[in-house]
Amino acid sequence: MGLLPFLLIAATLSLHAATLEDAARDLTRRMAPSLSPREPLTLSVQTLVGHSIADIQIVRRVFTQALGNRLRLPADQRSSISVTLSQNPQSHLLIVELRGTDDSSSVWMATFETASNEGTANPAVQLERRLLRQQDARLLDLVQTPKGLLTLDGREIALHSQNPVRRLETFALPENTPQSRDLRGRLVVENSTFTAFLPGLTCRGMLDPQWRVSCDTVSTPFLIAPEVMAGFVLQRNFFQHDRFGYVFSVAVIDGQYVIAPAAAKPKLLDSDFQPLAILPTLGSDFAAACGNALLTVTNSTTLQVLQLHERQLRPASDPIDLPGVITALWPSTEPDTFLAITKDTTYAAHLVTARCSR
Amino acid sequence: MRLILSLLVAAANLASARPRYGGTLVIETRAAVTALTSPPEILWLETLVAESGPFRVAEFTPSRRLLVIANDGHAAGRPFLDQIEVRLNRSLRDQLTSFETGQADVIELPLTEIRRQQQRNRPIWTSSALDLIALSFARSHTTTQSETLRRAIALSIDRQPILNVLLQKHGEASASLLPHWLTGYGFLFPAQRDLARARTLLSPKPAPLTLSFDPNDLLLRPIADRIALNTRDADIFLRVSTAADADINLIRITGAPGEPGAALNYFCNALSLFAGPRKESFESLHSAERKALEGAWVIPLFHIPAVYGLSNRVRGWAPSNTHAWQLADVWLESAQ
Repeated sequence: MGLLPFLLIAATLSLHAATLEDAARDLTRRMAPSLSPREPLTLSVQTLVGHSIADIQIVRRVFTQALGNRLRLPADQRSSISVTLSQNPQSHLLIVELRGTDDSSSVWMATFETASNEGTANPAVQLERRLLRQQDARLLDLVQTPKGLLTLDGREIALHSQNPVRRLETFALPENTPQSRDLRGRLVVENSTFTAFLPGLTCRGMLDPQWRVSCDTVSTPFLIAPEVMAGFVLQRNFFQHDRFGYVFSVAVIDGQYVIAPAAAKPKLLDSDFQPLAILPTLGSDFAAACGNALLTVTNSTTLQVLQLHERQLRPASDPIDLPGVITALWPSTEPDTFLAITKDTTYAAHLVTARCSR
Repeated sequence: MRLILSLLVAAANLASARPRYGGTLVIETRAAVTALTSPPEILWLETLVAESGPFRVAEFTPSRRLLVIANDGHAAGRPFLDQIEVRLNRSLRDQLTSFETGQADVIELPLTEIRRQQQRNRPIWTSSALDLIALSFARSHTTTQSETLRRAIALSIDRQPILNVLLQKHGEASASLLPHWLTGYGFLFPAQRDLARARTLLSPKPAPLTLSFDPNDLLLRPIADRIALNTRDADIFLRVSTAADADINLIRITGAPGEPGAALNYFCNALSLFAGPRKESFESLHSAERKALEGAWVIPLFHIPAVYGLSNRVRGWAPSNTHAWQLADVWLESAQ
């Protein structure tokens, strides 16, 4: 189910005030008719989930201004206003409870947004990331071309301008395009032509002088690593290669092959395809980087460069976090640059650059 | 040095693999599903038997076994698993035996088993705390008609020690139908014990009451015993039994949806409570919940998670917060 229930909640219950201050003002307005004129009140403000002191001060200031000289020190036999900053999976909540001297209680609530606390990705010494595009549809690959961003998703090939962001051209893939639960696809651009490779489908097109695309229902092998031709397998998420069999990824480093077989642990092979070592800690998505290293997905949301040393992989960079689960990692045409696709609430394409200097 | 250490730790944990196709996932459950035509008794089962879902029913023996196979033509793509076998009506003890002998991949775990499994480095999946444990008073009994008595019982219960000891701190003590983590306003329903106030509400001393629970739910017996001890401190005597027609029932409601409004409806339906109409806001939801609990016919006590043990080969287990699993995205690590 994943995020679905909470997206539904967001659709139904997220009546957001823009800021905490807006929410506080909204509540003082709505609460006002329930207050008796000149009735002395006590005010307390608390947070349940670690909002900052600054947040508490904002709320206290707004309520103090609104209640003016009615505020008194806490004492028995006084009506009290308790303001609480809380949170649920969809939003931050500001909750006001007015408790009367007779123990009656009235409650008002408003939602608010806070400044994002997301930490910086802190690109380490060698890895940098730049967001290229976000979209709702399942993004498989993206290539920057002189005409704009060329994208491949499960349903179409499209060309987009970046500034302003606008769809320039589109081509709907055939209705019967075989889908995979972990669909993969690749775009290869050469001059003004391009090819889209999908499991059981190959589409060729032109960017210039006129947008034109046609497709064949066949898996066509393409270069997945230097001198390694392989094609996607129908309704699956891996390639088929003459020597390597079914593989998720292949990289060539220092004349040796690193492969991620579809049904076995990743391996290191020599130039004659003979196994040298099993690489049990390596995942199934990687690409050659910096000559003798691999850029790899180390957990579902993290990229890291690993260097091959005495048939073992050692970290060569600090890991970087991407904002979502990494669903694809492709080498770019530029050396040591890569395209990473992530999925969070939307799909996003990131250009990742490995700075290889020591 | 610290950086190098962190890098080595990161390297040691590398294992992000793309999903692999094939294999049979074996799930065991206490649920005795007798028919697939009626609404399934457990929420996650729905994804297996839905007509246009990612799996197709290949075999079904009521209360014993369900076998589903991958739907190759599913719109979102074929599931990674070839098939899923669900063994029904399995006691927790039998499930644990299957799990420990490698014959089951997913089993239901009692909360008391969590620590032992963690010590063995077994993966455990815990849902968000959405199962409700509550006291429900029999409305037809003359012994339960006093609202002050019901409120006194509510005030006499000391939830926190029960949560800490019997529930091993899994979940939250609660006096609301919906858990605080889901709404953010649960604190507005006080759950603290107030023995002095409970005693002042009681005059004269009430007659003894019976407190019942489902004997098949191993968790409820010790909680019922503890509640009876708590209320005795307020001079309210509860006799714990498994009789069907008790004055008070200690119940666990499982399977609530993760959407707050739907969850409130679910709990209200299960407890015969009326929440009334409401608007789409948390403020309105709170009002509805307060209305549902008017009269104290139901005393919410805890929200606890459902806990499952997973075998080491299970991958892609969607960390959904609730009971609805995305089994089409689950896959099995190959043995190589």
